[in-house]
Amino acid sequence: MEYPVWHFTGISSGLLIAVVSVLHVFIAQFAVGGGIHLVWTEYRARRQHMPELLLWLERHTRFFLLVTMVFGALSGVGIWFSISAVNPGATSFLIHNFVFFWAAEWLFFLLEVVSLLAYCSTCRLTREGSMPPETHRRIGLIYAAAGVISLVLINGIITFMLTPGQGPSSGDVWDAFFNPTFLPSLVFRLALSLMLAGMFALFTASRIRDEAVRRLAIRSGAQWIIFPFFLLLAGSAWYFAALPPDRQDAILRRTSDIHPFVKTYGWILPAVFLGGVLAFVKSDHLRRPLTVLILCAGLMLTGSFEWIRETGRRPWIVEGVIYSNGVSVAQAERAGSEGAASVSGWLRAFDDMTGAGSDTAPPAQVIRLNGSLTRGALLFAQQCNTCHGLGGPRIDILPLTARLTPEGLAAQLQGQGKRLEYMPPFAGSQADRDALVVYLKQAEASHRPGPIPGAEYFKPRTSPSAD
Amino acid sequence: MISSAMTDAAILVPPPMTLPAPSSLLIPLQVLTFFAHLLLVNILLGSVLLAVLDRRSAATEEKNGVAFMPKILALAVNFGIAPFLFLQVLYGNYLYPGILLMAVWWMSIVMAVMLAYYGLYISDGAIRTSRRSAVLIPVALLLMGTAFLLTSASTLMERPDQWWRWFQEPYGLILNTGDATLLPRYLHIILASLAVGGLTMAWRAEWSLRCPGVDREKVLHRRRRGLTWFFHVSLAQIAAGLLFLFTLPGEARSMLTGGDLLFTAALLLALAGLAAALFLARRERLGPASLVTAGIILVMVCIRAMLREALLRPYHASPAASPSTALAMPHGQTAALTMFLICAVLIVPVLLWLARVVLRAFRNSPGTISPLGKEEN
Repeated sequence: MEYPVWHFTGISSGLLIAVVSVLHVFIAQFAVGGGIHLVWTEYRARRQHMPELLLWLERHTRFFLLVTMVFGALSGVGIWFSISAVNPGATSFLIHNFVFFWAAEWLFFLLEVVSLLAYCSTCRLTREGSMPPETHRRIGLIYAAAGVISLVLINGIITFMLTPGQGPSSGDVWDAFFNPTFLPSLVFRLALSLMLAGMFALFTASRIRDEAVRRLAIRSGAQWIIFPFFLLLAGSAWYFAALPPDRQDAILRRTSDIHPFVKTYGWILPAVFLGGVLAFVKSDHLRRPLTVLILCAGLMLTGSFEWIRETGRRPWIVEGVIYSNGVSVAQAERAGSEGAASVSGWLRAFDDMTGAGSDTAPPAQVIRLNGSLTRGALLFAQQCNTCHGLGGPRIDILPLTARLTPEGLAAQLQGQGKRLEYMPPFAGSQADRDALVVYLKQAEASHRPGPIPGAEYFKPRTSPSAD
Repeated sequence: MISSAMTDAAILVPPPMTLPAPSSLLIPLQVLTFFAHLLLVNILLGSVLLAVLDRRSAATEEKNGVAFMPKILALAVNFGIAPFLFLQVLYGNYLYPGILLMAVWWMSIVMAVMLAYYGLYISDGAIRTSRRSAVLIPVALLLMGTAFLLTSASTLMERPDQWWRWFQEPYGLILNTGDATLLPRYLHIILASLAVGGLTMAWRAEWSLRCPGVDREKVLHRRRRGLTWFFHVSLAQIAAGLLFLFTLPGEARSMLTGGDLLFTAALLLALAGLAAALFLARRERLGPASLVTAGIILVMVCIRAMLREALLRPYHASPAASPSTALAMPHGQTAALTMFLICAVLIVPVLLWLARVVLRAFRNSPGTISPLGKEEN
C-alpha cells in the first residue's frame, strides 16, 4: 500500500506474474534437468562408442543453449521485473531478508552461463580431439552442479513463502530457508526437472535421420520421463503431507479458483507418464507432433502445479506476514483502525489533492487528476487487483459483486478474511469500504447498462470530490 | 536544503526497510557489479553499433565475426542481476515507484533484450553477409531502446518530485522526459559504448593477428580504425559530459565543481584519465588505453552512486519521510553473507579453469584463435 499501483484493471496483475513465472519455471527446470541429462548421455555415448549419438547431442546442446540461456535467462529477469512492478512491497520484503541467498544464486547462474557457453563451444573441438572428452564432461558436470545448486537456493525462498516455518517467529533467516517444505519441494522439482529434460530430448531426437540412432535417443529420452515419474509421485505426496492442515484443506476443498488446476494436475501427471511409455514402446513411430504434445503436457503439469502452490497459499504471499495483495499484517491492522490512508502515502496525497482527507493544501506540482482515478479505483488497484480483474479473464470481480447489494458488499468487505478466509482482510475504514463499494457498483453499471442499484445509499458518506 | 517540492514529494516515498548488512558493504557490492555490467553493455552495444556504422572495420561480415556478441550479451544480462539486486536492497523504496510509473516500458525491456539476443544468434548463423548485417540494425535499435528505458528508470527513481505524474497517468506509460538530465545522460552512455566498441574492435584485430595466414595489413588497419573510433568518440564525450554536468540540479552541479572535495576530486580524476586514454590511443597503446578506460568507467560509476545518494538525501532527511520498517529476519544474515562471500571466492578458480581449458582447446584446434572471435578453417 505504500507504493503506487500499475493501473490495468482489465486483468488481474497477478495473472501477468503467473504467465511469466510458469513459462520461466518450465524452461528453468528444463535447464536443471537438462544439464544432468547432457552429461549422462555424453558419458553413455562415449562408453558405448556411439558417435552418431554424440552428433545429435551436439545439436541438442545448441538447442538447449538457445532455449535455456536466451528464453530461460530473460524470462527469469522477467519475473524479477514483473514482481517488482506488480507487488513491490512483498518483493522488497523478500529481497531484504534473502538478499545473500539471491546473490549466491546469481553467482551460480554466472557459473551456469560460462560453463554452458564453454560446453557448447567445445563440443566440436572434443569430437575433433582438441579437448579430452573427460575435460568436456567435467565442464558439463560443473554446469549441472551449478544448475542444481541454483535450484536449491531458489527453492528455499519459494517454499518459505508457502510454509515460513520458524523463520518469522525466531527472526532467523536460516530457519526460514530450511522450512518444512524445503526438502519435499526440492525432491519434487528435481524429479520434474529430469522429466522435462526427457521431454525436450524427445523433441530434438524425433528429427534424427538415422533410424537406429533415433530409436536409441528416443528410448533414452523416454526413460528420463518414466523413471523420475516415480520420484515425482513420491515428491508430490511428501510435499502435500508436509503442508499444514489448513493449506491441505485449501487445496482440496477450495472451488473455482483452484479446483480446475487440481483436476488438471491429477490427469496430466499420468498422461505425461503414459506419453513417456508410449515414446519408449513406439520409438520407431514417434514423430515431431507427438513430442510437441508431450511438451505441452509438461507445460501444463508445471503450470498447474505452480498455480496450485500459488493459489493454495492464499490469502498470503508469506504466511502470517504479508497478504496476497501485498498488504502486511501490521498495515492491515493499522488501516482497520485509522483508515487506509494511514499506511499509504499515495492515498494520503490523493486525499490531500481532492480534499477527501486532511486540510493540507494540494501540492503545487499537481495540475489535475486523471478522470478515472477515483479513491475507490485507487483502493481497488491497491488491494484487489493483484487477484481480481475488472471485466476481464481470471477471477473477474464484477459477477461476484453483482450478486450483492451495496450494503451486502460493504458487509462482506468488513468481514473479509474471517468469513472468506482465503481472502485478505480489507485494510481500511468504513469510509474506505464505502469508496470501494461505490467504485465497484459504478464499474458494474458501466459493464451492464442501467442504474446503479442502491449506489445512492453511500453518497452522503463519501466525499463527492473523491468519488 | 529541502525545497517545498521535495517536502511535498516526500509523502510519496515509501518507508525504507532496515538493511540486512551495513551499507558500507552493500554499496561497494552494488558499484562493483554495476561496473562489470556496464563494461559488458558498453562492449556489446558499442560493437553492435560499430557493426552497423562501420561494417568493414568491425569485421562482422566475416565468418563467425558476430559469434562473440551473444556471449557478451549473456554475460551482460547476468551481471545486470547483481547490481539490480543490491539496488533494490539499498534504494528499493525509490526504485519501485520509478519502475511502477513506467511499468509498461519496464516490462518491454525483457522482450526487447530477448529479441536482440535471438537477433544476434540469427545474425551469427546467417550465411549471407548482407543478411547478417541487416539483422544487426534492428538489434542495435532494440539495444539502444533498452539503454534509453533503463536510463529513464534510473533517473525516475531519483526524482520523487516527478512521481506526481502518476496521478494523471497511472497506466505505467510515464517516461522521465521532464528531467533535463535524461537525454545528456543517455548520450553519455551511447558515446561511452561507441568508445568501448572502438577498443573492442581494436582488440579483436589484435587477437586475430595471432592467427596464421591472416592479412596483417588489413588487420592492422582494423586495429588503428578501432583506436580512431575510440579517440574521436571520447573527444565528443567531453562535450556530452559538460552538457550532463550543466543539466544537473544546481546543488549536485556545485558539488562536482568545487563544492565538495570528494565529488570534485573524482570528476578531476575521471577527466585526467580521459586525457591519458586519449593520449595513449593516439600512440596506439591499446592495452594501457583500455586499462585507463576501465578505470574511468569505474570512477564514473562511483560518481553516479555518490550523485544518487546526494540527490536522494533530502528525502531521507525530510520530516515527511516515514521511519524505516524493521527487518523480519535479522538473525543469520551474517552467516548468509559469509556463505555468499565463500561462494564468490570458490567460484573464481572454477571460472579460471573453464577459461583455461577452453582457450587451450581452441589453441589446439588448427585455424581457430579464440572462442570470442574464432576464425575457423
